[in-house]
Amino acid sequence: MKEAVLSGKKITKSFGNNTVLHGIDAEIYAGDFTVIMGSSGSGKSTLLYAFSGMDRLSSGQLFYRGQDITNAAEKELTQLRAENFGFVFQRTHLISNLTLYENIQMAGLIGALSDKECKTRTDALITRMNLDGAKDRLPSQVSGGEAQRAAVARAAINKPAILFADEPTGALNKANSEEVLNLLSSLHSEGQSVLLVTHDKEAALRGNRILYLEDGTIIDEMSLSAYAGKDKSREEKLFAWLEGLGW
Amino acid sequence: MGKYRMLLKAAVKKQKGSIIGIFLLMFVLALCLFSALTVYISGMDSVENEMNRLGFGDFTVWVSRQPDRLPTEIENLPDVDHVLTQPLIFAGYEINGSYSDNEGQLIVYDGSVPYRFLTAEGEELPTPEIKPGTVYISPALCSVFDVQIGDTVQFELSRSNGIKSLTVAGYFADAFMGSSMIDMKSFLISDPDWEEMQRTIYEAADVDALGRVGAMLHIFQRADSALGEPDFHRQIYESTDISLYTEFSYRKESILSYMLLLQNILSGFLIAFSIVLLILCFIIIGHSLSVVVEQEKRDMAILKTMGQSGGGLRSVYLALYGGTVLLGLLLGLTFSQSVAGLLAKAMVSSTGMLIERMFPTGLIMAILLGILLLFALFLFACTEKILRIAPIQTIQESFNTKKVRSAFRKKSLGLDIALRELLSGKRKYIALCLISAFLVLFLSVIGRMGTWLGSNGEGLMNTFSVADHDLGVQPFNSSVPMDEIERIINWYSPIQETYELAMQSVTVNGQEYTANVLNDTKWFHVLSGNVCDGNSILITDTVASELNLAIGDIVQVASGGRMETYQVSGIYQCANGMGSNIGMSIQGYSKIGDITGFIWCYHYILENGSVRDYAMAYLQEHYRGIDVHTNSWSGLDGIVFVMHALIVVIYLIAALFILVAVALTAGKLLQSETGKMAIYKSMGLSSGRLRLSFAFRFLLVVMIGAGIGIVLSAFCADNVVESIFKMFGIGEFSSGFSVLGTVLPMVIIPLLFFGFALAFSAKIKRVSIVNLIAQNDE
Repeated sequence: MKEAVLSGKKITKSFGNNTVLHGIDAEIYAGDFTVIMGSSGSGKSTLLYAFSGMDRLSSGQLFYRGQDITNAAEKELTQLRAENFGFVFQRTHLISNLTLYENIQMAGLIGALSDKECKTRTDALITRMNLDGAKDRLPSQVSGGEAQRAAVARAAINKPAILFADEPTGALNKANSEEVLNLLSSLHSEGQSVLLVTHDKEAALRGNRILYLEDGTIIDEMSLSAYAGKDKSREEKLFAWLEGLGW
Repeated sequence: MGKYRMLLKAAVKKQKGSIIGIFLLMFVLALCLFSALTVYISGMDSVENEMNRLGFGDFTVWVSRQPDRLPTEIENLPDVDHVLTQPLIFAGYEINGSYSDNEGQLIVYDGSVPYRFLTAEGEELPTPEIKPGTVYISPALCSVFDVQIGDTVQFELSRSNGIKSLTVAGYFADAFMGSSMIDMKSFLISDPDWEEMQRTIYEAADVDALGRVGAMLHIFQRADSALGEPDFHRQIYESTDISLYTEFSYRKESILSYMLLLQNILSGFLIAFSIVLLILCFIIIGHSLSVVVEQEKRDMAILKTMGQSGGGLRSVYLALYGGTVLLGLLLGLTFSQSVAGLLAKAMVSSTGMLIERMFPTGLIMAILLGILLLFALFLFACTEKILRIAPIQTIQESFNTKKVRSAFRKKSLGLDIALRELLSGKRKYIALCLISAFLVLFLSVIGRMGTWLGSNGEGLMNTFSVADHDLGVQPFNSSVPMDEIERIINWYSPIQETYELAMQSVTVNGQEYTANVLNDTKWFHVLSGNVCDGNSILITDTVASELNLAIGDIVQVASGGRMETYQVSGIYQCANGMGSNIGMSIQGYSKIGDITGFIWCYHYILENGSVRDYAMAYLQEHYRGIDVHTNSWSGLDGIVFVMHALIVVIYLIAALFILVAVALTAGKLLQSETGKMAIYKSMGLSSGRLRLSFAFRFLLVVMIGAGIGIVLSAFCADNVVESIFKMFGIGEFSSGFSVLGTVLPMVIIPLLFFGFALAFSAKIKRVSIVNLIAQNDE
């Protein structure tokens, strides 16, 4: 049986009178590449930030590896983010006055890595993300793809329990999107748990578990075999499922 | 006009933090500058007017046992207009068990001189009738002797039962010597008491008399006289035998300086500090405007694309900042007059008279207009950038961050992030660096002066004294058992060294000065040249400058009608009488005066100087006919108190300025870094570490500024202070390392910046990572 890294019980999130998430029950399992799909405004990003503890719940409960973190102090959540969670945003959100190398290194230093470990992992990630030529440049001096690859490396450096990715290809062209998704798949293949929010079918194909969100409620979910490159049958299965949901 | 109103309204709404901060700075600046100026000018005018009203001459000589013909003789001189004679009695006195170092001057009050009468708090009272058995005193005696109405003053007129006790009935404004900075004090008494006291002195045998009958001779120079001051004095001293009867003499300017010494120190420092504040205001406003223009550049560019002219946009900011500066200055000016009134009243016990608060309209308006003009030009220059904003280029402009190198380490991550922020945004922090440099420089100068002054004013006393000593005993007659007195002093602490001093009135090249005659000239504080001998004299910087003398020059020194030629052997330090004195050896003085009649003052240097007060109290209690004093004077406590209070006030104002500077800078920085803070938070950096890192930026940059300030202070503080001190007759100032002058500003200023930055960084706690999602949806 798979270990639930994150468990949400009756997760509700409201902004004033507007309730975005309606009592969602869901679990995110270790080793999965979970994808949350849904149309624009369905509440998928809100769910991701609720799961990650970045945004407090209006009601319901959230557990990290069985431990209730619903009302965890900011200090605990900070430590979780530093050591156990990694984030990739739609906009790269790199620190503008740090080079790509330093952006990745910074996350490692904030996390649990020693100076030496951090350097080793940063160097390795730079090579893996194909950023050797751009590592000493500032985010404003590199392409969107390079920046987003650095963002993925930053999220991965601490080998987090779960890597959250919020529309990571939303602002990228096709080639760059492909590259970023390949990196996420590659990390997943090495055991990295990933929670991806997207409204892109191609991106969703990278997951092995797809949750479908509509009006703040998970209305269905499906499982796929692990991604191992282009696979027509996986595509057909996912697209048919989505079509059935009115996508 | 409608659109400008709208733009102005929007700017006010967006910049209200900056506007409030700048308003506060200008308000404090105006309050500080104009209250100090008002007190300074009003003090000078008040005392001078009062001196004129009470009949102080261009030159006033205190004489005793003078012949009746003397005023007429002086009046007959070609350049003398007239001489006013104010009779008085010189007598030692004791109040509340404390014996005064100096003789009092008793003046009969017959209404002919229009003295003003006051309460101890400085309220003016109607002229009273002085009843026999009562005395009116200067309010300054309240701070010196803790005297109150109803207390008794005992005047010593003769040794055989010649003590006259009078009860304090009230206070009067003594414009000649009422200040606590002057040891001599006047007392107004009734006519019957005057007659009785005069009789007691006349009836006592010469050897028995302690009091002396004398007068103040107020000498007025003719309006058409072509003589300069020194020549006028020379004419009086060389053409009459006034020197035979002179106790001391003062020019009006000297009395004015003494009367207002404390007040001038206070207002002088506040004015100097105001100039520093003015510079800081320019730095802060310039910085604030440059950041605002940078932040609003995009919106301004958009407005330009809509047809709004650059000049129009500039006028909005000119109106906003100019209006704030004007409002702050005007309001500060208004309140400064009340503060000046409070200061004037609070200083009655030190000035000895109520300073009438006069609004020096012309001067203040000129300064106000000058400051406004400077700010107008400054704001005009700062907003010039608005004209150069190119619409499309600005809108399309990407982040122009420069790449810098600095390492990141896990242990010092907060500090490393702070350093990176500083290195990549140097321009944003230059203002903070400059502010701290100026503040540390000024506070270091003040601190150095405070250290030099010493906790008990010993530094100041050493420059005022002819020579160092712990205890001085001056016997008024030969029957005082000095051997016994020295045994008693030895009982308190072994006497290390002893020497003798006498002070005599002499003329140098016709100008009247006090000669400090020592039996052992090695004790003079010689600044340059050599000590004097039988053929030479020492002069102060003041005398050198007044008589245009240098070491090696030949001078004519005269006393009691005998004149001799001496060479100037050196420059020495003695600020007594604003530096109007010379140093002589016994051998030197013997050539022009008879030393057998000298009243020597025996100076003692003790092994343990801390017992001096106990020894003095014992001797004062058990011996009559002697004056015992330490190396101190009545005004010293006032100066020490004012100096220390001033340091506290200046630190408080500096703290307020730092608060505003940090508020303006931190507010803008945090506003522009919300996104970055959210990213750091998403990476797991806690609010606490982010706040510390933010405050470290301030600490690092301010420490650089503080270092510059301390280095500048080390190089120029002594010279600056020395040039100021020369105005008070103090020829030399040197200070070394001290806690107050070096460590305190170096520590306090950066800590204040750090503390305020940490407090303002509380906003970071409210930065939500959700901001990053919101940006997704843009």
